[in-house]
Amino acid sequence: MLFFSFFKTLVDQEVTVELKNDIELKGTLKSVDQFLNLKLDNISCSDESKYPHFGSVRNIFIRGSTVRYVYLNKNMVDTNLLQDAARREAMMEKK
Amino acid sequence: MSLDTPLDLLKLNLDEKVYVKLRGARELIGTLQAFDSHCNIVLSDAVETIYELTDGDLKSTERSSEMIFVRGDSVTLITSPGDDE
Amino acid sequence: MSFFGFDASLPGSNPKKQNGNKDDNGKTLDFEETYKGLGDYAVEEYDYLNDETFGGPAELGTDFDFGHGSAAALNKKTEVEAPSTYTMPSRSYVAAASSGADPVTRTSLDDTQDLKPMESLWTNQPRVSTQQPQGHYQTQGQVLSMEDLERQQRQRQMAASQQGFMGMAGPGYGMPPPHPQGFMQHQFPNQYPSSFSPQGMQNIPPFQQMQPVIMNQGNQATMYQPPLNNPTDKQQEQGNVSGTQPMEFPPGTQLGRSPQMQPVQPSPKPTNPGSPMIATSTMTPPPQEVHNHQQNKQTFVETMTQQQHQHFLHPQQLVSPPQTPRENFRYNRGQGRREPLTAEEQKRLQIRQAKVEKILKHSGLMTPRDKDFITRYQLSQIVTDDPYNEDFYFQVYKIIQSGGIVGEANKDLIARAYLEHSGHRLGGRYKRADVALQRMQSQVEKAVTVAKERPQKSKDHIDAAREGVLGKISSAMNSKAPRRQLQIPLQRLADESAIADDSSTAKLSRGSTPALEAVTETLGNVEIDQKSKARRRSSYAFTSVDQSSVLSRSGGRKFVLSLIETVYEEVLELEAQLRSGNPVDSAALWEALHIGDESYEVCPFISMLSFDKGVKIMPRIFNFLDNSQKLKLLQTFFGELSHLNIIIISSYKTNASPSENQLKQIELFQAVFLKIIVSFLSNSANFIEIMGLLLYLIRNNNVSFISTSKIGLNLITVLISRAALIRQDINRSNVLSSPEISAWNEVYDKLFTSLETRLSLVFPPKEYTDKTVSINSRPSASSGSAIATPTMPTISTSSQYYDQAYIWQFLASLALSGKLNHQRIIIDEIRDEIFGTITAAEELGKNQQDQTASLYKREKLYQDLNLFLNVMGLVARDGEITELK
Repeated sequence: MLFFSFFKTLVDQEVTVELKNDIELKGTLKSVDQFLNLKLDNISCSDESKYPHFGSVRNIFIRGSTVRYVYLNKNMVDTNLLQDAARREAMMEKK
Repeated sequence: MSLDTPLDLLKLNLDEKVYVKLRGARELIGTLQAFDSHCNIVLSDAVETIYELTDGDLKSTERSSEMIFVRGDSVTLITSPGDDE
Repeated sequence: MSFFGFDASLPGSNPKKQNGNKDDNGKTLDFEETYKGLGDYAVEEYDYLNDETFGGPAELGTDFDFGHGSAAALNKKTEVEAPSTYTMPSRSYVAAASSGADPVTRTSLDDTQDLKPMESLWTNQPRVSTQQPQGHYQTQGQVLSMEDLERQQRQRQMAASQQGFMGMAGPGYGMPPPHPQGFMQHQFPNQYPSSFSPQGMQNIPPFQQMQPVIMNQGNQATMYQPPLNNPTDKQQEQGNVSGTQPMEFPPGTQLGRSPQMQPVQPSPKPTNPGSPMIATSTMTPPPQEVHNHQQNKQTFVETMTQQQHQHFLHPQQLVSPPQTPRENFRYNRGQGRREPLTAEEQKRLQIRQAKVEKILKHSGLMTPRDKDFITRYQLSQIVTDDPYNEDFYFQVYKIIQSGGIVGEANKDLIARAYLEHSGHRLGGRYKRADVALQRMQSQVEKAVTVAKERPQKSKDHIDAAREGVLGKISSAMNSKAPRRQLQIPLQRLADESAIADDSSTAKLSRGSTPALEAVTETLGNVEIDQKSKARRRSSYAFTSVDQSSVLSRSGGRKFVLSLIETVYEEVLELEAQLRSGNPVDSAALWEALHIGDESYEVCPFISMLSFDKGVKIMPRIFNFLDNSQKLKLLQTFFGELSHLNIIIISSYKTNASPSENQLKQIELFQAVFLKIIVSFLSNSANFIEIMGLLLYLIRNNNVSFISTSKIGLNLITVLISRAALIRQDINRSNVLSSPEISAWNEVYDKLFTSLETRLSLVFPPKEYTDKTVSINSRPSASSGSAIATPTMPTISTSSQYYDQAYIWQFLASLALSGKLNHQRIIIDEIRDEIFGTITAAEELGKNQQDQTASLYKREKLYQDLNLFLNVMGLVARDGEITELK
């Protein structure tokens, strides 16, 4: 639940998703579910060489399991809070 | 804190530099901000190194990112670079 | 996720089958192992259709073997698979349960049909239904909406339960008729002709699996009564039941918590002693066990049948017409019936049929309660009662984003912990750092202002002091080179003496007067015993900034990290308690801090502060400590200051070229921990306590080394400026007792002696300041992203030069508390720095490029310097030092 919770705070923010097949997509995160499937809007090319010219595709659903990385900006994340959230998660799993 | 699960060790390194090895000859060094039981992690100030073998030469490319989410299924190991004890 | 299972063995009706069943029951699953705890949730009734909804583990041909397997072969003639809209593509218990066994259907169906059980699913023949007057929906002549269906079912259910509430039976299904078997035999074929095929249910998963459901359905009564009421089997049954009861439902386990169980316990006979063991075992049960299982199965089927029966007994049960024999019949002969219809009609009917089917496909499979349960179960995957627990990050993040301190008090409590230094909102961390430093500065300034107001009475002395040290104060001073009319031999000491010469401080600390003892006692101080003190002292003055050198003295890196995480756990726990309004007990937290832990060379608490996360948690720890605990903590802190990693990092002696990261660490420490100390000292500590902390610092540390570090100097400044303020206040109201005054004088003397002759060392050398400046003025290098980290205000203003304000603040505070001779010595030792600063300021004034910045910096230099000079009634302005008017 931690990362579901985490990604919910990133909704409407611009993120860059790198898929396991090296495709890289930059777009506005529109929604996320507990499998960390992502919906991106207004996708654009962040690196021409890694961009598979989707043409007119503007928004896209990404199956969570195909994601390798999600690049974020520092100011989108409250690191202290996030660390504590991770601690809580670990504590809950122990109980 | 008792260290009875592998994830407890990971927890120790919250807010500390960690070294993460990934599938596909990739590695990351960054500050651990979050993790879960699937080894999904968030690193800050991370540097990714990708190793490639082209014509027998080992080439490495680096890429840094200020904040990165790494999906757990790519992760093969996590350790702390400063942990030489 | 199987909540239940069925047993189709119909007691009495088919004695042969029992024999056949024995083989199939060999494998049992242990509920405790497999579904531990799940039963807690399964409080719902009517869960018997769960697998229909979710798909059960059963597979065609294995678990369900309708006429083609060995078990079925025993009773083939009774096994019929009724093609039905009511069944789903995948076989399940319910499919099995609802497959017809009535004589009519049986005779009308042959083996071929049996092999095509799902014909309705893969033929596209419309199921013409106009000719079905019995069908409920046909009768009504309209397509029922889902709501209608649900309502009907609810009514039915209510009716059923009303029927059921005849005695002690559990809710929902009611008490069984007195002679269930007779009832079954009698009613079953008539009222519910296409009902269960007992054989079809032979091969259900082992009985344990369905037990929790049964229990929770409150059907114990129905389960155990039939055997008792069956005269022929009574003797045997009682034996079985008595053996079964403790085995299957050991009292006190979660399975056995149903209250209905107790009154139903039927057996006066002694229980089977072997049974409890068998119950938890997954081994092949002994024959008796098998029999018990069977018995239970039988009774359960009765229960089920009754449930179904009562369901469908209600007039409204006709909503499930596909189950009627006529329906089956229709499908069998659908071909012929369809002919008279026109194509259009056919199409219309097809559409209608599709609609109806869509609605009816699963209707009756789940009661509203089932649906509700499943909905809740699914929702519980994402939503919880306590969103702060499972959705913690999102919830708190949103609060912080929305500005925090509005709304419920609970939320505030959570958010506040993070607002303190959450990186980016409400000022964020670095603004807060500024606040902390400003607070210290204003403390000094306030004290200086007070001091400025009263010097007139001793004006002569001050003049004398000035004359003696700075030379004759005159307007003749030149901005470029302030004249030094009076040459006083400088007593510059070799730099290394600051660290190497430990002996003077050591000597100093040994001398203890009664006044100081009193201070120590007031603090409730347990003096560090001489041995550990000596041991600690030996490890002071590290020449390495390597964290591990300190860490290895307090148990190692991993150990310290685990201590920090324990502290976090305790704090999170306490915050959760606070949030839920529970009383808070910080004993465990205090324990976790290891304050005063003497088992390591360096107190683990000090080592915790070597890590950023150890520093960051401090304000939240302080929220839960009482005053005496805070004092104790600070005592440990000041007592082992030399071990503090941050001191070593921030001293130019031990870390001549700090890294960017280290500067950030220093920043963080100032922002977080210094702030706590300042606010504790100004809000909660009294004069004696402050004196005690200072004394503790002096006695246990090499003060001159500490004064070479920025943090160390800050800490000393905080202590002595606060003490000065209190003294000023107290001077006015004259409440400071004479022992306190004399104690203070002694403490101050000690401090001064340990710093004397090395005061100029508080100024870091040029190389160090240059290095620091160059790092700070560099754009943040750590992140490779285009978005730069917000630069810290303190650094941005000091990006072109090294901010020495903290040094002047220290000197001002030191001078404030000193007597005239102290002030003379101070000025004497640092006069080069004073004049150097003035020179630098005047140089800046001449700088033609970037005038604003230069002027600003010039002002700043004078401002800082004057903070110190003002203490002695002097002021530096335009390259000259004049008397303060």
